[in-house]
Amino acid sequence: MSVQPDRPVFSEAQVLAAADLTRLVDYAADAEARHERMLHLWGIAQGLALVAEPDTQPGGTAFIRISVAPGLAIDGTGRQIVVAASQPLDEGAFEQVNGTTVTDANRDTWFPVLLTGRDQDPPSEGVTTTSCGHQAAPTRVVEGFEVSFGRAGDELALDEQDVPPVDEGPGRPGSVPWRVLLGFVRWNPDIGQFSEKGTSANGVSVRYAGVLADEVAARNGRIEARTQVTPKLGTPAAVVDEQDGGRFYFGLHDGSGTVTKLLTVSAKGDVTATGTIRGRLSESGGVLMQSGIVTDGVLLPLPDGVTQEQVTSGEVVLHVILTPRVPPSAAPSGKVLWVPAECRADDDRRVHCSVTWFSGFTAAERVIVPASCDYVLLAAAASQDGS
Amino acid sequence: MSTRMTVVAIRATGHVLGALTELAPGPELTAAAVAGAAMPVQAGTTAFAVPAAQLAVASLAFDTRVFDDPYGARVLFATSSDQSASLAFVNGGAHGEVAAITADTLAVGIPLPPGAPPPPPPPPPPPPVSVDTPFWVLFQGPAGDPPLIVSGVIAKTTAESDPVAHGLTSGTSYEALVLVSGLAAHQQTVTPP
Repeated sequence: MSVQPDRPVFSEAQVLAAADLTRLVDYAADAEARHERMLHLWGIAQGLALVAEPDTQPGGTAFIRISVAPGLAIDGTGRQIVVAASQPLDEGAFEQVNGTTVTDANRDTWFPVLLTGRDQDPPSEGVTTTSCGHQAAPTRVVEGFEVSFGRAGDELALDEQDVPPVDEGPGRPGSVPWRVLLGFVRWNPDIGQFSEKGTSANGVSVRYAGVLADEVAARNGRIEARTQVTPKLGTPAAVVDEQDGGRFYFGLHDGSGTVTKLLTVSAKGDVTATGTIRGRLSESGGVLMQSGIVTDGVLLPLPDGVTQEQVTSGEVVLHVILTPRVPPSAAPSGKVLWVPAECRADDDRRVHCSVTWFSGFTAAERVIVPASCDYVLLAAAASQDGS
Repeated sequence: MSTRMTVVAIRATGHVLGALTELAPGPELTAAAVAGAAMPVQAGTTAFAVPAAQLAVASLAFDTRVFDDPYGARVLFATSSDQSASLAFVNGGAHGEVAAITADTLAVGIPLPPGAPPPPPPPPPPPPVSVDTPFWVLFQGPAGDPPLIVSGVIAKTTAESDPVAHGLTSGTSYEALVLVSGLAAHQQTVTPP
C-alpha cells in the first residue's frame, strides 16, 4: 500500500533509537532515488565500458579477456550503482548461464552483459563487537553490484522491468534487481573464452542515462546540445544564444570550442544555410521547376521537393513542355530533313519522342528514329480548394 | 546548360538506353527513377522493355553525342572504388548475334561484317576480341510472358561463347535483343528447336 513519505524529527532529550537514525538515512536515500527515477532516464551515467584485452591460448587460438571499466549507472528504481574499480568478466559465470547453448551454429550470437545494484554485508572490519564480546549487527551496508550475463534476447525486455511506486525508494525488499545493459559478448565454445564484445545487438544498444524535462533553460544566455561530452573536430551541435537579439544555429565543432555554423535562424526569422535547403512543395501557388535534355523513353525527373505521391494525389500538378532537339549531327546517314513524329510525355512522365527523317518522299526514303528533346517541367501546388 | 548528364545503361554490357540532364540540382537519380519498372528500347522494328533490375545509372560529363544517338554510346562502369564511370562508344560496324541454339542452350557469336574477307585458313583468324567480352540477350516471347535474359562471356581469342542454358520454350518464336559489350545492338528472331 502506498503511504505518504515522512521524515524523522527530533526533540530535546529524546532518546534516539537505531531505527530513528536509520530512518534519517533512508529518507534521504529514498528522496534521492525518486529524483533519479522521475527526472532522469535510467542508464550509464559515466564509464562502465566493456574493455577487451587480446590474449592467445597455448594452441594459438585468439580470445579476449573483458572487464568492466569503473563508472556509475542509475537504474530504473533510481538507485545509483557505483563500480569503483575495474571488474573482470567471469567466464565461469557465463558458462553457467549460456555455456551449453553456444555451439558452432550460433557462435555469432550476442549475449547481454548486465549490471545490477545490490546491498551487501560489509567485510568483517565493518562489524562491531559489544562490550560483552558478542558480535553486533553490521554498522555499514555496502552499496555493491553484480555483473551478470543474460540469455540471448534478454536485452529486448529491459524496458519491461518493474518500476517502484511513486512513494518508494530504490529497490523494494524482495523485488527483482533492476538490470542495466553494459554491452554484449560473443563466446567461443571451443576454448571457453570470450571472442568479441559489442555495444548493440537486435536493435538494442548500450543505454546512457538521460533527462526528463519539459523545459530546459540556460543561465548564461547560451545553451548547446551536442553528441559528445567533450566536443572534438566535427562533433555536431545545436546552439541557442542571445547574440544579435537571439538566434538558433546548427553546426560542427572546429576542435577549438567553436561551432562552425551550417544553418542559422536569426531573431528576425531569416534562415541562412551553407548547404541546400530541400523541402516538399506544399504552399498553394508555389512552383518548382526542372529543365534539361532528355532522350526518348526516359522518365522526366521531378523537381527536388516534389514527390510522386504528391503528383498522384493531385496535391501537385505538373506542366510539361517538350521541344524536339534535332541537331544536324543527329541525322541518320543520307537524311537531311525531319519532322516530328511524336513528342509528348505520358501520365507516367515517360517521354515519347521520335522524328521522321527524309531523303525523299517515298516510304523507302523516310525513317522514324527515336530522338531527344528539351524539356521544362513545372510542378505547381494545387490551391487548397482544389481549383 | 548542364555540365553533367545521367545515363541509364545495361549493367552487364554498358549499352546506353537513355540519358537526361537536369539544370536544377536534385537528388541522385536511380535506375528506377530514370526508367521506371522497365526501360523501352526500340531495336529495328521491335520494341523491347528492359527490366529496371538489369539497369544501372552513371553520372558523366555532358556529351551531346549521347543525345544525338544514345544507342551508340556505352558506359564503362567502374570496377573498383578508386575508379569512376566513363563514356565510350560502340563499334557500329559490328554486332553480336545468337549464333547457335539448341533446345536447351545457345551460343552468342560475333559475325564478320558483310564484305569482310573470309578468315585465312591456318593460322587461325585473329581473335575478334582480345579480352573476355560480356554478352547479354533479352528474349521477348508471346505477349504476357515475362522476358527471359541470358548473359555470359565470349572468351578472348574466340568468336563465339560456350553454350549457355536459355530456358526458352521449344518451337516458340522469340524476339531477341542481343548486346555484346562494345558492339552495336542487334535484333533477331529466334525459335529454339
